[in-house]
Amino acid sequence: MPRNILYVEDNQDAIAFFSRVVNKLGDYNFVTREDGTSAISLLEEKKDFTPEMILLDINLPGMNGFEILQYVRSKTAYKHVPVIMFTSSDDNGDVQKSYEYGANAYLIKPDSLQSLKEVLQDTFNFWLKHNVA
Amino acid sequence: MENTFTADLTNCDREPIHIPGFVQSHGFLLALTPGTFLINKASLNTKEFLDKDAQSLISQPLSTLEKNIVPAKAGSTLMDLIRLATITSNLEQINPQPVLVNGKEMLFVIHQYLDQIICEFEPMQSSDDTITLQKLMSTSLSVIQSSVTFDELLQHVSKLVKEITGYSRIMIYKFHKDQHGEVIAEANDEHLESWLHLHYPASDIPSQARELYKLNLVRIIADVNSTPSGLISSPENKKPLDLTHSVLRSVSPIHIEYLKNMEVGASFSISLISKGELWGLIACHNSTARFIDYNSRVACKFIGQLFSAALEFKYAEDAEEKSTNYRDKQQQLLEQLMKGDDPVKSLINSEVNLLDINTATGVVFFYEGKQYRLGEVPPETEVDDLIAWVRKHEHSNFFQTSTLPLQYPAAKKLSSVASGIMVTEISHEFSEYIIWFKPEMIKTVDWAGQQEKDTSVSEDGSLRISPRKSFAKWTQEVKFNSDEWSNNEIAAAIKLREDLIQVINKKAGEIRKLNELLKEAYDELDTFSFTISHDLRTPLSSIKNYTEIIMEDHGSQLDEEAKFLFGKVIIAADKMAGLIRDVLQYSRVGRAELATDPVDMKKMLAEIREELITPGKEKDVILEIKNTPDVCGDKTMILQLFTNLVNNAVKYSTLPTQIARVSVNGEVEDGFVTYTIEDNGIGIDMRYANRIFELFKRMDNVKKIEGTGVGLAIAKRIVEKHDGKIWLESRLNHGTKFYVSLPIK
Repeated sequence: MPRNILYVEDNQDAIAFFSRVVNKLGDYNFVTREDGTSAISLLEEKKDFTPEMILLDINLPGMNGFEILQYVRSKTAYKHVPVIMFTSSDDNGDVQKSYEYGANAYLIKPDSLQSLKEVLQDTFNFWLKHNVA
Repeated sequence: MENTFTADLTNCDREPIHIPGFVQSHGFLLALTPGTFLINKASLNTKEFLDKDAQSLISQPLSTLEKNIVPAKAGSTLMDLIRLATITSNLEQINPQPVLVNGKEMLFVIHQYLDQIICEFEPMQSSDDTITLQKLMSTSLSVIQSSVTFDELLQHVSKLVKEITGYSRIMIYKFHKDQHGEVIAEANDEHLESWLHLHYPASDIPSQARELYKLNLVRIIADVNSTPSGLISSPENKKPLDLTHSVLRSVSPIHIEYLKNMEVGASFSISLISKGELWGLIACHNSTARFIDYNSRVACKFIGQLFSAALEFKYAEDAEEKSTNYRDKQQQLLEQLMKGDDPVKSLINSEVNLLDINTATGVVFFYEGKQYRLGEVPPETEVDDLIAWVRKHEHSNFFQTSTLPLQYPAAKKLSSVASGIMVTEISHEFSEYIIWFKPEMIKTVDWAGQQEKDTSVSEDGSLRISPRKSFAKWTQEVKFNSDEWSNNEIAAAIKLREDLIQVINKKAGEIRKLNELLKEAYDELDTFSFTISHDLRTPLSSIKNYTEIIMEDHGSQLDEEAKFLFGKVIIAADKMAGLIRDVLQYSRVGRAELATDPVDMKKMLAEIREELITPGKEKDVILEIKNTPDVCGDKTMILQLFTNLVNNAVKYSTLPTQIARVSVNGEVEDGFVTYTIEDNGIGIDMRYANRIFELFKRMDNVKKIEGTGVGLAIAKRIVEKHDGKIWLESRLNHGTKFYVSLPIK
């Protein structure tokens, strides 16, 4: 059974690289949303898709990644879903804020596909296992 | 003889000139005892007028003379006039009374002083010569009122006095502060040489004469060459007669001698009083004897009084006009200052400049380390020395003198331009001043005759000093004196200082404002570079990743050259990503709020070592960490600072033949923690040492080593953010020692 992953990202290139890498990693069912509002309405529906892990970009149109994170953590149903901040920002403040609001990990987007593959593999392995346990 | 005092120049200050014991012989005098009206004193020349010996009159009642002296007005007696005089308070209404003395017309003048009724009889001029008093007075009044300027007033008054007196030389004398006199206006017969601006020594008019001049406003010596007539007294009244208010009073023989030396035949003077002090005199000379009748003297006295009143008014007006002129110029100067942004241009190179607000002949403006010079001024180095002297000797912000060379001997050689200076300090800190200069006034003192006392040996062999005989113009070399700085000049200089400081402060305020704007722009630039770098990362990452996909998915379709070129794209993208990362860090330091916490340096340096010396590299690098005092600051930034410096030390230590030796050591001293990071690397050319902290600046000898040229710029920025210092010592191919000094909070 494929694992459900939600990835909120507005950059189409980033989504393209992500899907390319993830598709090679194994049996993952990932859904992407381009902004906070559509991501939240997906989560509200609760019917077809329940994510087992959420990846959030920080700089998004409308709501930013932190706001989505806060929403996720405020909902009982998603309280324990691993949330990974997935961003190109290496700003200390962003890192601190992420953990403060309840992110499980802070992942800086690597700039090569190989690194991306490695990083995502490690992350998935760790956090999806963790969730199951 | 009543008076045995012998006067000469050594004692003329003490000569009792109010009791000379003589009267001038053109008239005669009788003194009466009040109440009894007995004659107690008479001038010895009564016989000439009354045909009676003076001796025969003494102790006689005045009525003895009733037949000899008859009032011109019919029906009254001499006694009637005297009785009237003793009860009236205003003698001006009585004096003078025309009388017939043994049939000859004379004027009778009476006054009472110190328990004596003094009756004087003087000649009456023929009616042709006599102008009515009323006419004289109205003429005088209109002349004085019509004078617009002070100079005009002087001219009009001297001409008027000349007309009334008919004397050949009329001079208006002004007394200077030191009591010496100067001729400031004259009206002369054409053949006479001008004495205008001649100066007379103070001793020419002794102080008690000045006092008398204040009481007795007009005095005549009708005939310098006539012999004065002595006074005879009754046995009961030997006390010398006080002639302070007498019209016939004889003057000091020494004064007569003085006039004779001047070849004067008759002398008349009118006192000019200002604010209760003798301001000057209108001195009138005639080469021959010349009497001026009572009415003309009264008219002259009136002119003197009018002039005195005008003096206070007009002179004040004149000073006011000058100061208004200076004030206008000052106002203009201030406007120039406000309008322009360069005080030098406004004060020196403009229509109105620093020389227009006073009588100075030169000025130097010290501003921003330079001298700006106008008019007659000493050489630049001399002015520097002078300012150094002023700074040392004057502790207030204003200084003025009119005798500079006497106080500052180095100015003796500059006396022709700098005998007087006025200095106003704009800024002590920046040594900014305005100095005005005035020349020595050597040329301006023309004495009437040499001031040294002439001496002659008298018959008994004793040395006697007599009034000088020569009145030829003599210029005295008054050394090292300039004209004095007037109150107006001083006030203008002080006011200008205030204005200038205000303008400079305003400019400073503008600079502060610009500074704020600059800071804002700087912050904006940081935000800009941060944002743009951040935004560049995503597309750059796309470039790289798509290139990777091309290589991965379509590599088999590419020839070797295409693969090689795509490889270059990836390398370039990586390099650019590195640059972006560094620029981001650099701008982040600028934007960051500074946290100041104690930083555990021992721990931090250990972490840096761990990062740096990865397994397998131990043999290439020896990193020695010595003293590690804690510092205060933003932990992230301090980490970055030391990471950059230590990494650099290791990176540029790579001389091919040797092991990189890097040592880090901290010392605490004078409120600063100073760390040194020393390496044995390739070194930095110290000629460019100041440039290595610039953004993107890399030295020629490191071109082959990877780097973006941002690391040291970030380091410097972090240090400056912490109010610290960073500097270095280096020798090419020997090594570099970086110093970082941070304040202990």
